[in-house]
Amino acid sequence: MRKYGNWGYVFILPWLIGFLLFTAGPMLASLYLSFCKYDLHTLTWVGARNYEVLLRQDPLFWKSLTNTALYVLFSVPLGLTGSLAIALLLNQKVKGLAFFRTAFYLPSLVPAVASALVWQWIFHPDAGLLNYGLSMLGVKGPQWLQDPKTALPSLILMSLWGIGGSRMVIFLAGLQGISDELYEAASLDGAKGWAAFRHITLPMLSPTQFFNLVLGIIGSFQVFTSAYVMTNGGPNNATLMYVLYLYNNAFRYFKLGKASAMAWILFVILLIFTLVQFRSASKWVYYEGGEKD
Amino acid sequence: MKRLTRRRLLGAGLAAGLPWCTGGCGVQRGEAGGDRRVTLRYMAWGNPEQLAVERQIAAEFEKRHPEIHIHLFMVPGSAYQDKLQLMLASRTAPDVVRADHYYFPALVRKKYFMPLDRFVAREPTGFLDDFIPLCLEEGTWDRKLYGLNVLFGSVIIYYNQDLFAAAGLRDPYELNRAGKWDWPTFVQAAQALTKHEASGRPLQFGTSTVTFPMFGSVIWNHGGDFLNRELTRFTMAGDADSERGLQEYADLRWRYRCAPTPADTALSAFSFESGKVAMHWGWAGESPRFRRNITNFRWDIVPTPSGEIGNATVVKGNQLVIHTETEHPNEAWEFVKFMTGPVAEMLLCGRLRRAIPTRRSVQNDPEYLRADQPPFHTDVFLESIRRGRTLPIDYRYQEWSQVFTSALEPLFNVQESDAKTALADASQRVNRILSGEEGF
Repeated sequence: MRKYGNWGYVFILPWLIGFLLFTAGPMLASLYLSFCKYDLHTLTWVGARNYEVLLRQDPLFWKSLTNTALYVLFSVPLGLTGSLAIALLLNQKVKGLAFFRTAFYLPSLVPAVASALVWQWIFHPDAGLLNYGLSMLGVKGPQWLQDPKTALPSLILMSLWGIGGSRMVIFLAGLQGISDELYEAASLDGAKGWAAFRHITLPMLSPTQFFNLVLGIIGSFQVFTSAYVMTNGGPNNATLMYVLYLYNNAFRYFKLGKASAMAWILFVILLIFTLVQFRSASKWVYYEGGEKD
Repeated sequence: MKRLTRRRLLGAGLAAGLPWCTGGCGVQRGEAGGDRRVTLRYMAWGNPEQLAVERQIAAEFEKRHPEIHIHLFMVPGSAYQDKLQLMLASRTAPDVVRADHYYFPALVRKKYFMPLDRFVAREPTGFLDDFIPLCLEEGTWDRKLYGLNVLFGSVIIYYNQDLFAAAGLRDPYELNRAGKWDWPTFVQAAQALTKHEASGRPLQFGTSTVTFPMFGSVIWNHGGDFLNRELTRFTMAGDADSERGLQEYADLRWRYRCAPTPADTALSAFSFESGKVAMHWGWAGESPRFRRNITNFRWDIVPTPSGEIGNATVVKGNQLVIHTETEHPNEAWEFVKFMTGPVAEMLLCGRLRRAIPTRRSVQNDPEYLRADQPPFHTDVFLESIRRGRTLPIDYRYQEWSQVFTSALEPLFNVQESDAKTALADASQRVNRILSGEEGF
């Protein structure tokens, strides 16, 4: 038996080597670098100075964290609600369902940079679709990406572009996993429409919501492409996202120690968020097979 | 079926790896193939026209130096600085590299580049005298010469001659020759060349505006400056001349409405090539693009306008440097010397007129001065260099310039601030960087 067991290690060896070299190794290296001053040329151990500078002396760190927190606060609930709404629509038995499912999924296949460029057109104050639509309603549209007050909301709005993507598919799979018997039983008791949704669909879908919420928060904290391509953090740092500022420190200013410290701070933030969600899950996530250990 | 044993697995691995190793185990450096020529690697960036010219110059060099082969590789401009930094840090950078001056001070202090003084000492006496001093100044650090300048240029104004004629305005080139091309004249012309529909929708703008550092001459010519002489303190805030210069530049957009807003420019609707912008502030190197794209109007160049205090223009180049780790320093020097020599400069500046020659002998050469395609005012290139002033670029430039540009956005982007307020904010932010501990 032991002989066969050794073969198991041989088979996982390629993955193991890859994991150690390209994931665990760089992670440990970045942890070490976060305690150093490093500009790709000179490496100096500075203890916790990078963390101290970030937390106590760097206003852009807090600005980027605030921007990102606001982005997460709005884009995650809006995105989850939108994805669930589309999944509910695409779970109906209507003609042309395959077409609708494809059509709603398509935007998520567009590369992030390409969709960012398309949205630049949509947000154009004079020639953009959005302000054109508003003008039809007699409303003068804002400057969107050019105005510090509307730039961040613009990126949040743009994040909804992806609501028909994988998150929606997961919701759809979750919806299709809910037994019809539950709805039939509820119907016999007089629960239909909103009541059925509130007391059957939502609880039965709670593990899916939990999964999407955890991944959504992690993904939103790491938002980068839209800010990098569309605004480069401007105007006046209104869209300076955390990962964009991390990138700037690493690859524009070559403060790789500081950037590594930022990466670890983000890791800790995400870890706390995830742990809190897992702790709170027992209060609102319902597993059909019983309580999850 | 044979059993998979550790020995067989190892054998298979060796068999797969052996052909690769016998084929050279990766990249060859130094001598090329079996012809005993020294291969020099040279890295640069640029558009296809630039690439073609660089190839031609390398071919000319190889003709004169058959013992040396130039391996030219062009990297897209957007990825160039990242790649260069990583190659320098990993000691895999090419023998000769073109470094943008925006980054040169940050790189040279890390000892990535070889001092050129020992090579210059071997050249005939007065070798450096042919170079214009500004070019040598940019390539010097800690009183040693590390780079010779290529693609040297200034910020100039491209203007649409047909729009000026249609508006009945005097040609700015003539005004400049008469010593009358100053800031008020420029603003008047920009206003006269701007047209809006009755609804307020813009049809044509008198001028474009640019971001820092390209508007440097406006501040200088109003008597202001960005940093102190030591480049350790931001000096614009509280300086009436700087504040006035910056406010007047912002006024082009918001008060006089003769320059496009960010919204107007976002979709390139108002570009110089479109014929809807009468004057365009740009680097000297933009002329090949305009020659290619503009077919329906006449255009030429004029220096940026003078101010009450002076008539400086912004100048900047790229430095051609030798990597410290090169195995062929002498051959690399020969190549650098050739690239910045009269033959290459004539090819580069005369053929494409992408740049202004760094050598006096080329500047005065009739072949360079003769112009059979726009821009015809070659003397403007030379005048802008005579009036040229280098930018306050130090090793922290990338960081403080980004913060400075960001602080000016409320003034330039949405008119939510005036120059005084924007500069007070910029001063706090920039000085925090300049006075902060390096590396944090």
